[in-house]
Amino acid sequence: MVTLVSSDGVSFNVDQKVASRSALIKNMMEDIGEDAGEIPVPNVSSNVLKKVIEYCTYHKDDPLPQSGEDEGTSAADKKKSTVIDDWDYNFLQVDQEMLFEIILTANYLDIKPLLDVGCKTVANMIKGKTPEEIRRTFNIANDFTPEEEAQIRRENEWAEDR
Amino acid sequence: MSLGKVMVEKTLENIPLEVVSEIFTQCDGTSLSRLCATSKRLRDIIHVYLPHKYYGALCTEHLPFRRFDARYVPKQPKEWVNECSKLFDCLNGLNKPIPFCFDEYVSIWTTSKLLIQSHEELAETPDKYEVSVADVVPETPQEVEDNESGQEDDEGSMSSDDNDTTQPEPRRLYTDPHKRLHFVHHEWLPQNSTPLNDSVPCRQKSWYTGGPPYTIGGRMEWIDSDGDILKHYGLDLRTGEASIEKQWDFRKFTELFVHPRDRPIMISPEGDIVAEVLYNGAYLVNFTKGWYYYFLEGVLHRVRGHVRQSSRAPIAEGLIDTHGTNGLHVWPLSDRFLFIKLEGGSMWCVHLVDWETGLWHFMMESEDTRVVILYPSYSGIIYVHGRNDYVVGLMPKFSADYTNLTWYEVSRNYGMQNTQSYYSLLFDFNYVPDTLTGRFAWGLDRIVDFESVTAEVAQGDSYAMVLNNEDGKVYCYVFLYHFTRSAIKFIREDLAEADGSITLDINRIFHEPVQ
Repeated sequence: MVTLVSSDGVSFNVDQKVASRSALIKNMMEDIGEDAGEIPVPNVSSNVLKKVIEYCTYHKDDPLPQSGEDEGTSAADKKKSTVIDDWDYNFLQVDQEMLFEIILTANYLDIKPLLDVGCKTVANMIKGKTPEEIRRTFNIANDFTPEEEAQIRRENEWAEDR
Repeated sequence: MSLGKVMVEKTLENIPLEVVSEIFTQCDGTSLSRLCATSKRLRDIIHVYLPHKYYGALCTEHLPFRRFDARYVPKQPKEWVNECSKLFDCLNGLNKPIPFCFDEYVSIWTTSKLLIQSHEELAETPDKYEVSVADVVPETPQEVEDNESGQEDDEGSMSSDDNDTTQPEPRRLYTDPHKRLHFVHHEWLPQNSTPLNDSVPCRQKSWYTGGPPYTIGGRMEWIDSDGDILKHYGLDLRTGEASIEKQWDFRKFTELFVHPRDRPIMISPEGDIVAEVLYNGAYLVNFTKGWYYYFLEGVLHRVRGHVRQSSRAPIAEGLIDTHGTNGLHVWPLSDRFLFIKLEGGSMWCVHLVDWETGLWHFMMESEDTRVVILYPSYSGIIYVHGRNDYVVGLMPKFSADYTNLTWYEVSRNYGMQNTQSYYSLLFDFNYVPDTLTGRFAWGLDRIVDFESVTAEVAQGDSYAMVLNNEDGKVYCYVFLYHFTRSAIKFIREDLAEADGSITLDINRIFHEPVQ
């Protein structure tokens, strides 16, 4: 077992196999050895860390992605795999704040599958929406002038109405 | 922590670039376009940091004939991969991405990445893109002999019995231009010849049924066809006396000789070389990327030809040297689409031809052959170079059923001396395959003083890097056939040391013509 300590001081006892889903923690455990003791995760709050551990626990038996696996993967191949597994889909049915926190944590802890599925979830939230709908969804302030907006519409015209 | 504060900290706009980049990688091109329209921050992220993903996604979605269709040219995958490797090595030598402004996104770096990607895909599925050799006749002496005897049979049946329902065997062409080549007449090609005349007619079709006259030394000459008879007329402008100078029977044109300048030339049984009349429009033939294209009485045909040994497609010269040239220029973008430029007299027009729907999509026309040269480009954008010192990028987009085509202007750069315009243009159209390759190799020895260099460092379609033995510097030559028939020469270190946009020293442009 290994103990992960969140930024707000909450400790989580986690099986090493679960913790190893994070390439960052896995490397730390390998460096420190068997008696890893407590591993601080200073950038992650307890509620987010709890979710991430839940993900890692569910996927603990999945094959680990190989280092550099993505290197040779073309953008086209990545596009093909936009489908999200049911469990992952339900797991990520959280509010937007939590979703971004999970993505950031996955990036920080180097949990590639979680990062990937989190990004796909956001991409799916964007897909099919107009710029205004995207703004509303992600609470984005429109800082374009009307003239700039008109210009953008003209520039993007060719990519619309397929 | 209030909800408002949290949203400010963790929005799409404010999460780290490396993470938002991962998200945008999962987005399709349309989503990215719309994201660009939401806020300046997101627009900047996409335009400045992720242009390759943005345009890569858009190209994937919107360009049915984008660069990857280059695979359809008769070249084996391994050859493509090798060429790709050479290019990549060369570009690697530049060492760093060069920051281009938004509308000139096709940086060296992006181009190389996309190229590598496409060729990785290609390497993984080579069978998918192998060119069929079904139409290729092996050139063993026995087969040559058999074919020639077959030809005599065909001619006999043609002249004696037009109602013969037996499908004649298509004539084949041989790779060696110095051999006797048997031109394939359209009447014998029901299987692999595709008439397009019943679709939207070519607007300038009449040019090619009659062909425009041309004037030489007080004489006007023109070519017209009457059935299978090609007639060469002459008119003395001083006396007004007209006459038929010569006439040939199309069916007896059995030899095609490829001129060293890649002009296809037909030779009549009497030994008449009719290349010039071919260019005048009555009967045109053009070979590129495995197809012969020809007009006969207003119908455009294509015939699957043979993989020619030479990599110099005639169209390269045709598109570059538009001055005073009448004729048909074909630039296939894929097995499905081709650009076709029709010239006659002082007029020309350009169409995009879709062989599957049979539609001709009119693009533009001009009364001045010097005004515009078109370049179907590596990224799918068609660049138009105007006399008024501008380069416009046009993006075509089809409707879902490919019946309508709309052109969108996606970039406009004024100033031919604008370095970035040069670069975006050059490196974008750089890899239109098989068109400029031969030109490059052909012109290289006229530009580079090989006696003063140690070795050719790298070579691409329209550029080369050469190590100069005398000063130890690596020079990059970018060939500008299409503009000036000359080359830009710059030292590689200029690029490596540049922080921002590069200012080209115009004095380094070689004005030595490449001829």
